[in-house]
Amino acid sequence: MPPGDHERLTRYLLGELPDAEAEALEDECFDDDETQAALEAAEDDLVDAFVRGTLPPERLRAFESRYAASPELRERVQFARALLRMSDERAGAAAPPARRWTAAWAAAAALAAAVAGWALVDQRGARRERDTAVLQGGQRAREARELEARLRAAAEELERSRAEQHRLQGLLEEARRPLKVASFALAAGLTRDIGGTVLDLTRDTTVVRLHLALIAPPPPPLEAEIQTPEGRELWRARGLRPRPTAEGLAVTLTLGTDQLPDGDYVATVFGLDRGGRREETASFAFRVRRAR
Amino acid sequence: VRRKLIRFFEWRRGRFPEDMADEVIDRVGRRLAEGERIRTADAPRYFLGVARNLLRESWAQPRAPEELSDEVATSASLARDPSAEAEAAARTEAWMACLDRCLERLPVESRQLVLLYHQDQKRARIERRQELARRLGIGRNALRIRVFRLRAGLEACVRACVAASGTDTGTRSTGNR
Repeated sequence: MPPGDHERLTRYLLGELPDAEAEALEDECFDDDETQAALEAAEDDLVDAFVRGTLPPERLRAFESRYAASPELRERVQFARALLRMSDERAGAAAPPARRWTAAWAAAAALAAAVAGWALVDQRGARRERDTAVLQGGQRAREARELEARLRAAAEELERSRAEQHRLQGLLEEARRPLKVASFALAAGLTRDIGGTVLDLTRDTTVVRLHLALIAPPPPPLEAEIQTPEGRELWRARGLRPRPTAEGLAVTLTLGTDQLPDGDYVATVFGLDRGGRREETASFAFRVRRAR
Repeated sequence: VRRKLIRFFEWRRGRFPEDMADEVIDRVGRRLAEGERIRTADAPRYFLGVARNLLRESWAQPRAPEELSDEVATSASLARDPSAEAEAAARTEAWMACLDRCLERLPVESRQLVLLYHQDQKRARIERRQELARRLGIGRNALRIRVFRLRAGLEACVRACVAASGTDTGTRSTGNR
């Protein structure tokens, strides 16, 4: 690929190439797998730059316009976010060995207090140590053996740390208590006139989860929106999937209580037809009422 | 060819890339059944020509204005929604766990190549990639394509893992890579 071609690929992806040049590039892609791969690799670079926040403003706008319209691209961004984060985490492990281990265990201790499911993270750390050492070049086999021994030691340490982690987790749950979630199951079709659901919130409720029961939902993805009875839209979500609940299949909406002041609302769930047009599936009337 | 067609429609903002790719293949199949002859060497361009025609046809059916405003409104309202941010963070964790598993299935050299390639930013990244290319005895473009292929396989593995674990509540997964 000649110098400057990467820029041409990027311009194509952002819709900046004139039609004739874009078509010439597409011809090349269909004739030559390497050009196709180079174009897809350029797209990866673009996605990475978006995730790292290094796109210049005009390209950011072009990218975001594609991003909003493409579920496929949104998944690619999600993957890039995970990959770059993991690459950076493991880069952090490439410090000199003594500092590396101290840092790893200090991080593990902090992690125990901060998140549940830390054993998984710790395993990642151990793998990271092993992977990083293998890479350092030179005496790979010896380092790999040393690291296997360290992995075993780490596993033993992990067991000892688990008891401490349980204790810290109890403290963490205590600390989390102020975030109060209220969940409500709503049945379709209820209106205020015939006793629509009233969501009684305590003063300290911060998050509301609405489980909207669907009798025969269309294929996902579904969409949902919440409006006032006058039709003013307050909230919207896309890409929803029904999940089994005690009341049958339901989609779940999660909102901050600051988005739902006291008043009457209608939540509507939509499916999409083959043309991508929305079709109403069910609607749910409810009233929000806070304790004074 | 189907994969190339899907990517073509994605890049050209076709509304339903997979459906459109299938429609192209159906049309070409019909023409062959009707006796049209295509030289093997010309086949990829032939598919591309049909794809372009189909794309122009779809442009002739403009999208409803509310469809466009929906996308913008959704993007804006999600950006404001704190619960969406929390869900996005949880989703990233799920993807990280799957990525960790999928990386373990790669040979160690490939795993390290992917991780090293994506580390750092700006100047440090450029130098690292030059060093990687030098170590592997290949040019920078060849390195980029090699990493792209590893990454595509990894992404497919992660998407399958996320779908199987049922942890992703976000967008649909089509896995075109």
